[in-house]
Amino acid sequence: MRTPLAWLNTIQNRKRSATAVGGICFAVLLIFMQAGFLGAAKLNASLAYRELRFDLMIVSRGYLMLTRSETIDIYRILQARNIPGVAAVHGLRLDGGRWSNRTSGGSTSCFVFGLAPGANFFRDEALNTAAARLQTRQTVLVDRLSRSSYGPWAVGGTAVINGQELSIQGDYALGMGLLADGSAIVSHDTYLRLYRIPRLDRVEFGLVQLAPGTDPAAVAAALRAALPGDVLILTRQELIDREENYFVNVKPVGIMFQVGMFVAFVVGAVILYQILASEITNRLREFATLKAMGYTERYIYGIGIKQGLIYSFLGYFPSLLLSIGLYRLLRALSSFPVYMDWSRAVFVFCLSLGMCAIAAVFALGKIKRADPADLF
Amino acid sequence: MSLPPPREVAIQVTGLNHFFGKGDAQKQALHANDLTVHRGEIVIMTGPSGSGKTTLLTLIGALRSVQSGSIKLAGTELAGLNPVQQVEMRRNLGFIFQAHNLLDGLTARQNVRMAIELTATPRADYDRVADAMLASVGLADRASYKPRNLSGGQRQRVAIARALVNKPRLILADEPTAALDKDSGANVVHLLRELANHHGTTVMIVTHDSRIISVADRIVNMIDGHIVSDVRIKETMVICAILKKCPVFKEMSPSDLTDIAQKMTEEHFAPGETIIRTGDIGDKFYVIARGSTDITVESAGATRAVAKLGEGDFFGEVALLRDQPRNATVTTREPVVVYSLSKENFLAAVKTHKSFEDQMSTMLFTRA
Repeated sequence: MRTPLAWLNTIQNRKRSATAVGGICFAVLLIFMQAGFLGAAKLNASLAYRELRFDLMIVSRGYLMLTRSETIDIYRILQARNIPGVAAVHGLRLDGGRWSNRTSGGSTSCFVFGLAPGANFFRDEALNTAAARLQTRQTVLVDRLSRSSYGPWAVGGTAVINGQELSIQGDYALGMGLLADGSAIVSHDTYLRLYRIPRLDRVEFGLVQLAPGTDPAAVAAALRAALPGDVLILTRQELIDREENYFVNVKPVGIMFQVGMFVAFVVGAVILYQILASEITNRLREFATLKAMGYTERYIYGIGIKQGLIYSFLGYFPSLLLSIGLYRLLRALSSFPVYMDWSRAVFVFCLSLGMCAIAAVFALGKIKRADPADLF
Repeated sequence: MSLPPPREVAIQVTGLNHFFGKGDAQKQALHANDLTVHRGEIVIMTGPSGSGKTTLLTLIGALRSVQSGSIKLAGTELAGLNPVQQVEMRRNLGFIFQAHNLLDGLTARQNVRMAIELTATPRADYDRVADAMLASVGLADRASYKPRNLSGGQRQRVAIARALVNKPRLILADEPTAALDKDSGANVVHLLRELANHHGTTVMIVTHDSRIISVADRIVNMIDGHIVSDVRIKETMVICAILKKCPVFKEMSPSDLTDIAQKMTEEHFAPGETIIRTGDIGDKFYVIARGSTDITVESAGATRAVAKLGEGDFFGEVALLRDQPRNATVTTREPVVVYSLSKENFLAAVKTHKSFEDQMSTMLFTRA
């Protein structure tokens, strides 16, 4: 085996190397956290849609995102039911409300879904069954992943939303994350009373369920042709993608996480650059000696790159383990859906390599200064 | 004592100039230097700081690009080599630096291995070859030590082992014994001598260490970018020995003899070749280092052999002293090596060394 010079150089001064690895580990951990927040925010943005049962969705032409959706005429729901391949179309209402914490006396945000009990709005059959119990006015299902700011509540008890007392018929697990502190599901009748709307002539969403074996794209095209231009027809995936992209690329919170990730990346690259630059400066005479011996500049650049990679590897793996632990802690504390998956692990690993590459490009220029003629 | 057999040229420096800086700040470090070093020679370079000896060494070591003039290493021209070709060239050389310049993260064995790994040596033999080399510099028991755990002398010996392990064709050393004690220095010198003798390695050393002068075949002195003297130790000793055998030189001090010897030029003649001819203008004085010659004179249209000269004899002085044409012809009987002294230097020596002039007058009187 050839002498592993890069590795031996790295471990020569273990204290210094450990400090360097610690710095890189911290930067990679920051990237992991920001990437985790970003991923969770994306997931969170589309979480409600992932729970709803639909193949196509009818939304207003001015639709921005789940919580910023204009209403559509309920007549569009009726029109859509006549298109071949459509099995059912359900109107869904959604608006922000205020949940009153009876213990503290304060109020907190709560998204309220209004639906027709008995229809299969959800992919979770248990939730459909629970929703069927909302036939009675002034009843509600409450999201058990709602924040603790909701105060104590229990199924069978009562909740106060928008100043009106509702009977809690059941609960479900959704978690609104960054969108709101929690959510609740009520019937259309209750919804109209909560928001003092005289009649149900507009809804936010039209959930289109197709007959088995139907091509969603073909039906979507037929719906677009049949319905006027005041609505948009989106497939399930189109809606989820649009929702996530909007949240990540347009909403400040998504941009914030992206910028945070970029800053962590830059910090990591700067740390790695400083480590490599210092290492190369300290070893200029050694590199000059290697050049005098007949080693090519390419070989010496290779040593610098390998050291960068070694630092990246040594910094990456501890930060991977640490971030898995921190994700768990975060989930336990906030119900925020932060999960480690292979794609994120690989993505951050690639960022670590990119960090190494950028640091190396700037640091390795110093190797040019290693002039073997100066050794005499 | 006799001359070593003729050897191939290892380093041929011709008209070498070198400049540092540009424009008005440009400074010429070397001025039209010529130097020929043969294979297996050990050349010691001396001179004050800034005299250009290190610049010359780095140019010969392909560590700098040749700007003007020519350097040939074993026939390969260094002028015009690109950086990649320079690196290739350096693989045939060994460098020993005053500061050991070991790789601090590696053990002594690994440091030596770094040099071996540039060669086609099988990987399985790396450690064996490195250990053998370290043993030869007395560091068999320090192979696993890192530089920080070695003394200054031991570090330098590791550096020397690294430079010598591939048995390079040329070794360039900068004060290789400066950090060594007497015994270690002697050991290093012995190693260099062995490489020169047994492997034909050429060694150029920049040093001020008088303890190692004895190992040199030649001492090149530089001042202000010029090679001002190039003393071929062995050849000078051979010439001095010959001169000392001649009655006219026997009273001269070794220093005076050396002065004359250094001004003499080696010349080779084939069998049957005429070195001087009757009637020619006398321009040189000769001593025969190897081979034999016939001396003939022409009288009444006939050529008559009057003497035979061999190794240690001399001729040509009469025409110089009397400023007359040659009075005899000298023809070689076999391959002949002579050392010649120009008329100008010969007459200068006569004037400088009174005893020499007296001896010559006596000799002329006896030859007349």
